[in-house]
Amino acid sequence: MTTSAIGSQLEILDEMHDRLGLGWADVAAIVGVNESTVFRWKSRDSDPRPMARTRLIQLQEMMALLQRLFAGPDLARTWLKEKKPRGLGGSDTPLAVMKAGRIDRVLMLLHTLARGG
Amino acid sequence: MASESGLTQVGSPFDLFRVLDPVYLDQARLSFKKYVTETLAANASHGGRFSPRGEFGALYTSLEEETAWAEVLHRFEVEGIEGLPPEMAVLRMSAQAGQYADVVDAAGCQEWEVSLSDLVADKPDAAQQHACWQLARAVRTVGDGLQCPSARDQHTNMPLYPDRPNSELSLVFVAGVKKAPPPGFAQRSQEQW
Repeated sequence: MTTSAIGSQLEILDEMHDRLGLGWADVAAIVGVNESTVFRWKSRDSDPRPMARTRLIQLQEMMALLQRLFAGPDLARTWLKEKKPRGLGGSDTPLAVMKAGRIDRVLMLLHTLARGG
Repeated sequence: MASESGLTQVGSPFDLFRVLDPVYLDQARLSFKKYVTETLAANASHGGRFSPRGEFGALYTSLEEETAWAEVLHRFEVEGIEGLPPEMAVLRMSAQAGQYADVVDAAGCQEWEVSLSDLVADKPDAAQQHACWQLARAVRTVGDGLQCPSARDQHTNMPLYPDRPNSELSLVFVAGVKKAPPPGFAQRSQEQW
């Protein structure tokens, strides 16, 4: 993968932090690494390995869905951090599900809603 | 009129509606079959009132556009999202053949041994959900869907099972249009993307 392509993928980390208000610890947990690894990626001291790159791609897909399904980032932020959707079992927030390594479940739920339920 | 099997044949074609994201309207326009197949798979993984989770999916449709809006609003609310995004789309389909169970009224419910109150419970309890799933399992064995009252308004929904074995359903894409949600249905955001 080219350097520019990886750099483009890494931009999602800043979007998650800046637009959705997630802490770096949360962002790192979602991608499955620790905070220091995220900062090494951002300073380009190292590059994400394949598993992490897959999660970055999933996050890009999720951000696109959030922008379609929520009128503004404030609403998306509240949903990610505070709501407990039935489609995710009703006991966990989307953020908690993602931090547990299941971005795919949140993506599936958002796609299902986008399809009309 | 229902036959001895309790099913009603689609006679004259009639319209059905769903409300969805415009991106998926585009998919439906390009390949309606792909949209239906993938939507059934997604619905099966989450389940619904007439589609037991992990067993089979249903394509939830409404006979009136306003009911389709009310149903999608409810679907979002169940998942913790208050209101609908600024731009959605209305998908209009036509049911042209097939057979379905008509449980819109008390007589139809009696025929299928289900209580009307179970079908329209706004937040069905476990027993009511079980009754709806039992009805769905039975209907899907012999029919392509059911017409039932909406729990949201006074109109009618039609969950469909186009992937059931021996389906006789003919459902075609008619039209799709991007629309803003009706007044009072839209999300209220304090920030812009």
